[in-house]
Amino acid sequence: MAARRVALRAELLPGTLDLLILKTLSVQPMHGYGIAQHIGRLSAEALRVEEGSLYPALQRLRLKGWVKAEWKLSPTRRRARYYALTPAGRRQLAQEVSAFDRLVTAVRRVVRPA
Amino acid sequence: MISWFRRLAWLLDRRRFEAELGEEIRIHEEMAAEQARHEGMAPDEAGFAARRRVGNRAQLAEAARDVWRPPALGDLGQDLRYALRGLRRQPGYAAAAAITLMLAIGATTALFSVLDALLLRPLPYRQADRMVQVWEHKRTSDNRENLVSPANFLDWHDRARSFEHLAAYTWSSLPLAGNTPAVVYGRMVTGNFYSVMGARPALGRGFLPGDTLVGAPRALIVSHALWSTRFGGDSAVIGKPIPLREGSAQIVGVMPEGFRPLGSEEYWEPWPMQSDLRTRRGRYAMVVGRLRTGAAAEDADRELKGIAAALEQEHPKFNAEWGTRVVPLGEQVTGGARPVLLLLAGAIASVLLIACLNVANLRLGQVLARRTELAVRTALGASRTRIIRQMLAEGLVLAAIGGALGIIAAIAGVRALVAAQVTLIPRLEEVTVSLRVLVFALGLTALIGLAFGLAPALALREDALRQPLSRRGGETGSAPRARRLRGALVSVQVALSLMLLAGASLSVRSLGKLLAVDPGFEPGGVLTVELELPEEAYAGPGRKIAFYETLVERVRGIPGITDIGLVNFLPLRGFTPGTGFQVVGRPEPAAGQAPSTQLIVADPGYHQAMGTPILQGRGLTPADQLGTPRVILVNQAFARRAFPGADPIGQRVKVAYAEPDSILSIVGVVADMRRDGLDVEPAPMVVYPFRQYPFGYMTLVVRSSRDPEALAPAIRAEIAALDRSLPVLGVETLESRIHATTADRRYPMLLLSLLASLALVLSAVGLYGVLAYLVGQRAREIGIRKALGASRGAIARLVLGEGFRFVLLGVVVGLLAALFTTRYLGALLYGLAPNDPVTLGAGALILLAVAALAAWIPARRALRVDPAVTLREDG
Repeated sequence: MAARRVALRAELLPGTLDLLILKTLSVQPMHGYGIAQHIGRLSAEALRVEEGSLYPALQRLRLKGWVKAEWKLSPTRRRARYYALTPAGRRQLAQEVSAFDRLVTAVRRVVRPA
Repeated sequence: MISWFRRLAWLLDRRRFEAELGEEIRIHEEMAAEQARHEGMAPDEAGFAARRRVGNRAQLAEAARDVWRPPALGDLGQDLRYALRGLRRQPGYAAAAAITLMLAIGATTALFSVLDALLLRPLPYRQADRMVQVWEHKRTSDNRENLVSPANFLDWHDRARSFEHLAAYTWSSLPLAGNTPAVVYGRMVTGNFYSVMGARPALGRGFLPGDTLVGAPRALIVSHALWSTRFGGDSAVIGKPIPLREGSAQIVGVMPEGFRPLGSEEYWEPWPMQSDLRTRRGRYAMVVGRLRTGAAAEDADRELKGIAAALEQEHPKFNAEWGTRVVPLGEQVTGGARPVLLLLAGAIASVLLIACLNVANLRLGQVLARRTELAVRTALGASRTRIIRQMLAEGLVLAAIGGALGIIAAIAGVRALVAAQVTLIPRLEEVTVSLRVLVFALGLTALIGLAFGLAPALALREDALRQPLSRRGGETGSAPRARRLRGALVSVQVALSLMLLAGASLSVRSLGKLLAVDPGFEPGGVLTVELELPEEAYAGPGRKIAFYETLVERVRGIPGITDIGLVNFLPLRGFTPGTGFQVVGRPEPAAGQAPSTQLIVADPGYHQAMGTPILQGRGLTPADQLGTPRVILVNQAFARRAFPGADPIGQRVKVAYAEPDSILSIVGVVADMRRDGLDVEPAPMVVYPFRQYPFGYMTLVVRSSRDPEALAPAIRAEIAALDRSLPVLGVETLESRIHATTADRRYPMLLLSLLASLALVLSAVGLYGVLAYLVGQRAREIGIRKALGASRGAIARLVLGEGFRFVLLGVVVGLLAALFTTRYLGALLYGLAPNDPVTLGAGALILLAVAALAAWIPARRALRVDPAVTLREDG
């Protein structure tokens, strides 16, 4: 199982981890584990978020004021730190999405010329 | 910007942040393990898988921490650790630098404490900036601070509008009776004195108008010191009569501790402003005032000068040529000491600069020696900023160590200074290492640290960091830029040292010249004993003469005593009365134009006991007594002034003193004595015979062949045998009196000498460091030269020439600077011009000699270089 993961894991483009987290949190506030699971599920396990990158990234987003953190009880009555988007985070997400779109379009043009 | 606030919040509450992060990761692990169990994994395998997934928690936490930590701070701890490690590796260098900085920061901080207390801190009075002192001064005289006539004071008080209060005081004494009779000195003050000072008694009451009524008990407000020493700090003493030798007095109040605004006074009593004070008779009062709100000292000065001009018109005989001067009290108190303190501040700043240059030089050398290490670190990827930061950290660590030691040294130094009780420095007892001083010291330390960090970093240009690796180390000698910089530092040090040396030598030679001045008497072996007969018990001339002459005869019987005499005012006691005189037979001088003379009263033995010769005519004899013609002696200055080129013997004069109309015949001329200071030319003086003008206050002058101090008990016993209740006011030797008069010069001289020596040593160390480094760097070159047959002389010239270029440059600059700065020694100098060529030349020679000594050791090492060894080394 570990071997399969390694094989399928794609290198994240620089900066995309922030985008993935912001996008995930735009759906609803979530704790760190949930964010990792969500990204894994949505990408059909193609994108595996390393805990070693996830938590520093979350701290970075907090520092920039794009997300805020709050301790809450989960539906399973477990205490966890939930992250939620701030208005600034929402604006940042919109910017990053359009920047990502431009990047992907540009990369595709290079890789598969029309 | 906002992110900086968040970072700050993180810094302040790091512990909570970390705990939360740890908790969050633990929960993450639990959730992952739960999920794995749901997927069917065995529980312990699931936990293991979860932990593996999360990986090294510490690393994760560190990565998260890195996000928050302010970027520069992150490596600061590491920089400081490296710096400390580096210093430990070179204990000699670290100790030299730290001690140098300690001396510099310590000395600077100690002096700043003094400057702070004296010049920057306000006087301890309410609204002290509105307090002024008022002087009279005669426009034809050099004395700008003359005492004030009470009559003039009363007129100022009535007419002036610039003052809220204008108070006067004069001297007074209090003969306390009891088991230990003593005379204490105080002031007689006008009723509004405490309003001027803005103070009130801590215990008891102030003066009331009734205190000055005829028949009221003598009311006293005493100093806290007198109250605690003489009256045991007992508040019951207030209101009770205390016994005096005649009658009694009543203590009505006690001033707060430390309140002694006029110097050494022990008590204050009211000065009754009776109408006869309006008669213009003499000038013997001090006047202080508190300015009205809105009035400046200049306004008050202008107003009083106007009033004085009017009084000049109204009382031409007394006031002709007399004006006034209003001086802010702060200026008055620090006035005399200010130039000397500023001078010393300059000297200390120079030493600080020299010390800093030295440490900068040391560091530069040390950094140059580490070029290879730094180059390796650069090659391994350390950025230039990182290296500069490393240098900065090293500088700061050094400065912090030096600063901490320096502050300790400063505290000790200030204690010593206060304990030394230098009379020159007013308010010395208030000097402490205050918070403000500490802030100053810390700021100084930080500045020095920054400078030491940045200077060497900037001296190392980028190419200097790569060069050592591309060539074989040391072969090319050091970077010439850095070498020139070090040389320039040496030049500056030499120049500063020479300035200090010149100043110190000038003051030392001045003091020497001053002590070599002939005071006009022989101080060795003379003891003086001051007495005052109470007027009540010794009324009339007969009793006074009888007492003193009996005492003189009895003391003469003490073994070892060779001469004995009596005088009222000794020389160098800071006070000699003076008045105008007129030669009989010459036209009366215009008002205010009469020549003036000092006057003393002495017995026939006085001049013999002082060792002062009678030059013409005769001395005083016992026959000069009441009922015989009035005679006087005059000094040489008097004879020169009044009878230039003529014989003064037999001339007759009138002196505006006790009996202004008596005609006095001059019977002798006595040699000049320096009465007002060793550096003050003798003024005209007349000597009255004691038997014709008996005084209650006289001083016994006793010359002996033994240690004069040892005579004191025997003399005291003779006095007690005549009058048990008579207090002895003061016993001292003439030599200690002379010593005391030169204290004000000796102290700055001592400090300047210390500073100059310190500067000299520091400069020598600096020069030594540069040359030693040079020889080390050029050992290979020297080896080659030797191998090629260079003579020892040529090698010595090579090394010394390099060093002495900078020294000579420093000497030239220093001499020019000294010519400019020594002018400010002004008042400290005596008998020497500030640009005295001998002193300056000697200073330059001393400096060159010390430099030669410092250069000698490295030069010798250069001569010992063995070509066979140095050439093989890199082979």
